Amino acid sequence: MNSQWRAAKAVIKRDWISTMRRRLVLGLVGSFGGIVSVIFLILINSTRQPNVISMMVAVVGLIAMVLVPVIAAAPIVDDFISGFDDLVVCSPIASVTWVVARWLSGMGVVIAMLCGSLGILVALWILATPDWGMIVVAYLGWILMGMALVAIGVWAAVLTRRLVAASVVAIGVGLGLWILAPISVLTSGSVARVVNAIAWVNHTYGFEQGIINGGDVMYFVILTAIFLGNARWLYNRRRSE
Amino acid sequence: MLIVDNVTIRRGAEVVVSGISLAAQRGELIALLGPNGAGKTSFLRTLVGLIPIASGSISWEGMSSSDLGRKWYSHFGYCPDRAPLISELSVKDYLGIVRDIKSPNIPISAIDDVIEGLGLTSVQDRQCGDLSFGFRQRVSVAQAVLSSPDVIVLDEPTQGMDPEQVVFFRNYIRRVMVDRIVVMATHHLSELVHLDAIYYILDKGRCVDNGVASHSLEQRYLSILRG
Repeated sequence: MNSQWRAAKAVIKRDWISTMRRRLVLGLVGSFGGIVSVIFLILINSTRQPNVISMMVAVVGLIAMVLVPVIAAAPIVDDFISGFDDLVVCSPIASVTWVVARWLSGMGVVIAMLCGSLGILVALWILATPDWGMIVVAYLGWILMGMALVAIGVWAAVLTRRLVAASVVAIGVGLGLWILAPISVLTSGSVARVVNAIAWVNHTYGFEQGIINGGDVMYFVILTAIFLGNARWLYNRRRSE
Repeated sequence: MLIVDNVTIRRGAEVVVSGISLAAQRGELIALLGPNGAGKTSFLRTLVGLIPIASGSISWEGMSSSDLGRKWYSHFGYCPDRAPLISELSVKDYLGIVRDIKSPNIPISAIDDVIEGLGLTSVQDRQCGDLSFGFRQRVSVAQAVLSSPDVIVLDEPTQGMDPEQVVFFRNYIRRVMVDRIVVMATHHLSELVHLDAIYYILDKGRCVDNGVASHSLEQRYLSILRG
């Protein structure tokens, strides 16, 4: 167990150093914080605060849908291409340790992206009187969305082993889940219920309104578990190829 | 003792290695020779557990790879033909990460030992992506020997090295192979004489000749492959 934990820490360290030394990723992380900050700044003078927060949760969620899986997939794909993964495959690290470590690395980047916007909260606190409850719920929503998006990125990387392909697959899956909501109006009965249940947008609405719904939290947790479970299965299959 | 008994490897329907057998004891260097595509890399990847065996068996100290499961990996150190480095990491960070993933129980001082042994002290803080090809190969060898494995598997480790580096590498291998087995694919035939290697020439996945390397090896190699 101890050796698995040390191996997991090593994988996280590897991803963290690698990710933080990429100028492109640093730029993306910085821009993300900047975008959130600008929207927050709008709040200072806004008379329609709840609407702006709702819009912000939706817009940032959509941007994250494109950025997060790609950032999560990049170091994994690098390892496939460089051959470093061959060393991992013939090491005692368990597949579940590997998958969870890679997911935690991706979550570290998500947290860093969100931390980029925290400074502006201080400005908000001094200059305005925002609805802090809505803002806290918005951050919780982003973390949950980040969990699922990182899992999708890890899964897509293991599935395709190429960054462009992984990006296309991950963004495709994310956007696919996102557009299910408008598609659901074309369906009826039990099909409509199923489509609505798995539609991404239906589970972000609560966070946009400042409401924490247990079903929405479970949706993102289950989505994360499904994609991580599948990534583990795919990685195990690669090890026994 | 490492025993490879009548091993066949397939890639899909294609047979890439057929009926290879060899045995090696500690202190011996096994050299796999042959043209590109002869099956050397496939054989080495099978040895370390990256490719499954279609038929035959491989055993270490009487235990087969299937008996040992994941423990099999701990007996082997593998240096692939392309240095498996992480460009953004310094040499020392990289070796630290390899240690934590592959063999967390070895002391941290082993990293300094291998850095010193392979002449990497001057580049230990440089990022792997900034290294010359020869140094990249040395780092690749370093990660393979780091965990003090019983069998060191090297796939063309001297490619890209200048003559001075090749001699340095040869001396290093001579030191580490005292109590280990080294299995190496190479095209540098002249090096093998200095290392008292036992060679196996592969062609189209089959072993066509084997013996102890001598000064006439290059001539013999060419005459066998030209038929």
